[in-house]
Amino acid sequence: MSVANVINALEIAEISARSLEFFSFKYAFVARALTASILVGGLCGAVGTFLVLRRLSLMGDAAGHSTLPGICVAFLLAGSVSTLPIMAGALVSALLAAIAVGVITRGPRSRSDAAIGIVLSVFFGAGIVLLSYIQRVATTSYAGLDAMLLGNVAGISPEQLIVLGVVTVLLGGATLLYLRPLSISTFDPGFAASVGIPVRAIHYGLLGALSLSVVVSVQAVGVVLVSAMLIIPGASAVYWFKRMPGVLAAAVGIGALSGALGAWTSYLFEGVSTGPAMVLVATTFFLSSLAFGPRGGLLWRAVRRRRRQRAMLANVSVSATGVR
Amino acid sequence: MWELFVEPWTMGAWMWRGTLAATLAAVPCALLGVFLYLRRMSLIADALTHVALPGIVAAFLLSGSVDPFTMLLGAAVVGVLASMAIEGLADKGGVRSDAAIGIVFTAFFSIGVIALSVGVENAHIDTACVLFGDVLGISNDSLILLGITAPAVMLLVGLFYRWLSLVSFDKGLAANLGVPVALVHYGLMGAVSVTSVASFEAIGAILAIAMIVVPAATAHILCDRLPWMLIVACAHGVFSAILGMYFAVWLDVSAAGAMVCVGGVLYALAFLGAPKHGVLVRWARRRARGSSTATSTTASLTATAGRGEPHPEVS
Amino acid sequence: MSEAVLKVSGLTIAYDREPVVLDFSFEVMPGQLVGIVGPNGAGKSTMIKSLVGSIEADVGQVWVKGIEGRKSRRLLTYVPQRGSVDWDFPVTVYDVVKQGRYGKLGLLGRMSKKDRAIVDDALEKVAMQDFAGRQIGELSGGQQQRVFLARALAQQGDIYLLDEPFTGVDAKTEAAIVDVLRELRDQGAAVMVVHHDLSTVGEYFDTVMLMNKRLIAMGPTAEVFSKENLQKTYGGKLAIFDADAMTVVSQGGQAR
Repeated sequence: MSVANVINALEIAEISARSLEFFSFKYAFVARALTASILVGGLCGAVGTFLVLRRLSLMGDAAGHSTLPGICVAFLLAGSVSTLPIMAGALVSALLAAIAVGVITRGPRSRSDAAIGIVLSVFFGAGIVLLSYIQRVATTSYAGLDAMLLGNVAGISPEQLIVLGVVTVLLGGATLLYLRPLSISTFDPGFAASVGIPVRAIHYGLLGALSLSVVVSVQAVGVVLVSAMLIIPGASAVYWFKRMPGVLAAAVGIGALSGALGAWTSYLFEGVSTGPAMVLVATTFFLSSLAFGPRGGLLWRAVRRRRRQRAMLANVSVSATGVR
Repeated sequence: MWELFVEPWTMGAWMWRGTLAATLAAVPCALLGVFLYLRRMSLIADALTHVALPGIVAAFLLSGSVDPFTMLLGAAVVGVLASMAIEGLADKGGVRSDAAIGIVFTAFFSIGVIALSVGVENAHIDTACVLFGDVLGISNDSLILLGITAPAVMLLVGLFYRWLSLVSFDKGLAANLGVPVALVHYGLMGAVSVTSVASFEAIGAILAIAMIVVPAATAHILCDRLPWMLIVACAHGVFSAILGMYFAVWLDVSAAGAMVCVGGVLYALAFLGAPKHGVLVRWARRRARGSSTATSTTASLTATAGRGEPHPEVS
Repeated sequence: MSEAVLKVSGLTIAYDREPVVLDFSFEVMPGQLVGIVGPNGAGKSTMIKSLVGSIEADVGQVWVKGIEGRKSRRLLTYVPQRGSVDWDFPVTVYDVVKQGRYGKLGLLGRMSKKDRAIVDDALEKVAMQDFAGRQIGELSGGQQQRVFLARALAQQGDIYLLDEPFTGVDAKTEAAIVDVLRELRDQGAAVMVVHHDLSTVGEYFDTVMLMNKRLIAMGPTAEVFSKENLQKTYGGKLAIFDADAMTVVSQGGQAR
C-alpha cells in the first residue's frame, strides 16, 4: 500500500462506506473482531491499572514477550493451532517468566529493572529460536508471524472469543469482589498487611491475572504491544479520578474505546495491524488526559501555579523586611 | 568432534560475515549496556532499541534514501527525542517512570510500524528482518556501519570513561565537579540509538536489548571493579555471538535468538556459580559453616518478589 | 575583617507547590564550624543541594568566595547523605576517594605522585587506609561515611557542606569525623553540617543555623541556640527536658 493509496483512502466517501460495513456487522468476523477488541481493551485496562499503580508497568511487557516460547512449545506438542493448548502454553510460559523475575530480583547483585529486561529478552529469544524451527518444519505462513507479534483481531476464532469472554467475566468479577483489599494493598501495603489483608497472595494473584489477560489478548494486540494496552488506560485514568472505583471505570472505558476504535481503524486501512492502531488511539486518550485532566493535568497545574505564584510574591515581599 | 567446530567456517563466506557482524554488534552493546545497567536504565535501553525502528522509517520517509548514515542520524535524533519524552513525562507530567517508558516506546513503535506498512513500498525494510535481523545474509552496508560504530563507541567510552563512571555513580559529585551531566546522559542515549540501528541487521530491534542488559548483569555478578566489568561484559557478548552462530548453523534456527539464549545461559551460570556471589557458592559456604541458614537461601529466592518500588500512590 | 567565603541572598526553592526554602540569606566566614538544624522537611538538605548545584533554585543569589554563578559552585565540597549512594557499584574505597581529584584532573589527566599522596593522606585521616582495595558494599555504615569524607578531603577545597554525616553511624566513627571537621576548621576552612541530633549541637558547633523553611536565627551557638529560638524553629513540637536550653533532648514526641 503506497502513500498515494492512503491519500485516496482518506476520501470521506470511502471511509464512510467501509465504516458502515464495519459497524453493520456485515461479516461475522467483524462482529467477533469488534467484541474481542472491546473486551481486550477493557480487560487489559482494568488489570493494567493495578500494575501501573504498583509500579509494575514493565512486568506487562515481560509477560507479553514471554508468552512466545510457550506458544511455540504448545504448537509443537499439540501439532495444531487449536486455541486451548496454545493458550495453556502461553500461560505457563508467562507464569514461569514472572517467577523468574522474582528469583533474579532476589539474587546476587540484582536490579529489578534489569531482571525484567533479562527475562523478557531471553524468553523472547528462546521463542524466536523455536519459531524459526517451526517455520522450517511446519507450514505456518509469514502472515501468522505478523499477527502474533502485532495483532490481527480480525483473525480471532469463535473459540478464542469464548475463552476471552470467560476470562474477562471471571477476572472482572474477581476485581469487583476483591476491590477493597486490592485497592488498600495498592495504596498502602503496610497498612493493608497490618489489618490482615494477604498482601503476598494479592501480589501473586495479580501476576497470575496479568498472565491470563496477556494470553487472551495476544491475538488482538500482539506480543510486542500488549503492554501498551495494559499501561496506557490506567496511566490516563489517574488524571481524572482520585479513588479506585473511578480510576478503574475510566481505565476500562478508555481501554474498551481504544480497542473498538483501533479495530475500526485497522479495518479501514489494509496495511495497518490492530495492535499499533489500538495503541495510537490509546495514546491520544493519554495525551488528552495529560493535558486536560483535572487531577495533575498540565492545564490545571499551570492555572494553579499561577495562582500560587501570585500569592507567594505577596508573601515574600511582606516578610523580606524582617526575618532575622 | 573437532570437525563440528571447524566445519561451519568452510561452508561459505556468510559464516565469516555473520560472525563478524554479530561480534561487532556485541561489543558496543555490551560497553554501553554496562553504564545503562548501573544507572538502572536497562528498560530505557529497551525503549531506545524499539524506537530505532521509527527512527529509521522517519529518516527514510524524510530523505527518501536508504543510505546507512541517514538512518543512523534519524535513529539518533528520534532516540534522543524519545528519551526526552520519557523524562518529560516522568518529571513534569507526573507519570511514574516505568509507565512513562512503556507509553513512549509503544507509541513511537506503533507509529513506526504503521508508517512502515503504509508509507513504504516493500523490499528495503522488511518487518521480520527489522525485528529479528538476518545476520546470515548480512549486507555490506551493515558491515561497514558496524565496522565504524563499534570502534567509535569503544573510542568514546575510553575517552569519556571518567565522566561516564562518575555520572553513573554519583551524579551530585559529577555536577559539583563541573561535569556536563546532561551532555553525558544524552550522549549515552544517542550512542545506544546509533548502536541499535547499526546492529539491526545483525540482531534486530527486539533482541538488541538482550545484548545490552544481559552481558552487564552477568559481569556485575562476577566483578568488583568497573574496568573489569566492561571487559567481562564484552567477553560475554562476543562469546554469546560466536557460540550462538554455531548453534544457528548446527540446529538451523534463528541466529539472533540463539545468541540471546546462549547469553541467558551464561547469566544463569554466573548467577549460580560465580566465585564470590553465586547463589550455589553462597549456599555451599553457609553449609560449610554448619549454620541452618542454608535453606533460607532457597526460601528467600522464591519469596514474594514484592513491588518494583515501595509506596505506590496516585499522584 | 575577613571576607565571607559563602554568601547567600534571597534563596527560594519551591517544588512546583509550597516553597521548601523561603527567602534564605546568610554569610559564612572561614574558620566557622556551622551546624544546621531544623525539623524534618525544613528544607535543610534541599538548601544544601541547591548551593552545590544539583537542584535549581527559583529565586536567589549565591556568592562563593565572592564569585557568583554556576561555575563557582565547584569551589564547594559536598558530602551527600549516605542513603543516596549505590553500594553495589563496582568501585573500591580507593576508587571513590580518587574521584575527589577528578575536579583538578579533568577528563583525561593522569594521576601524579602528588595526587596519589593526597588520596593516601585523606584515607589515613579517616583511618580507612587498610580498606583501600575493598568494594564499597563490603563496608559498615560508619566506614562508608568515612570514605565519603575522605573523598571530600581529597578535593582539597576550603568550603565543606555535609548532609547528616552522623546518621546511622557508630559513636567511634562519629567522634572521628568530628575530629576531622575540627581540624579542617582550625586550618581555616568553612564547614557547614546538616545535623539531626540537638543534644550534641552545643558540643560540636561554634556557630549554629536554625531553619524551618526560613532562616530563624544564625550566630554563635552560645547566643543563638536558646529555648525561644528552638521553640520558634520547631513550633511547639519540642520538649525541653532541662531548664538549661543547651541540653534539649526530644523533638516531635520521639524520645532519644
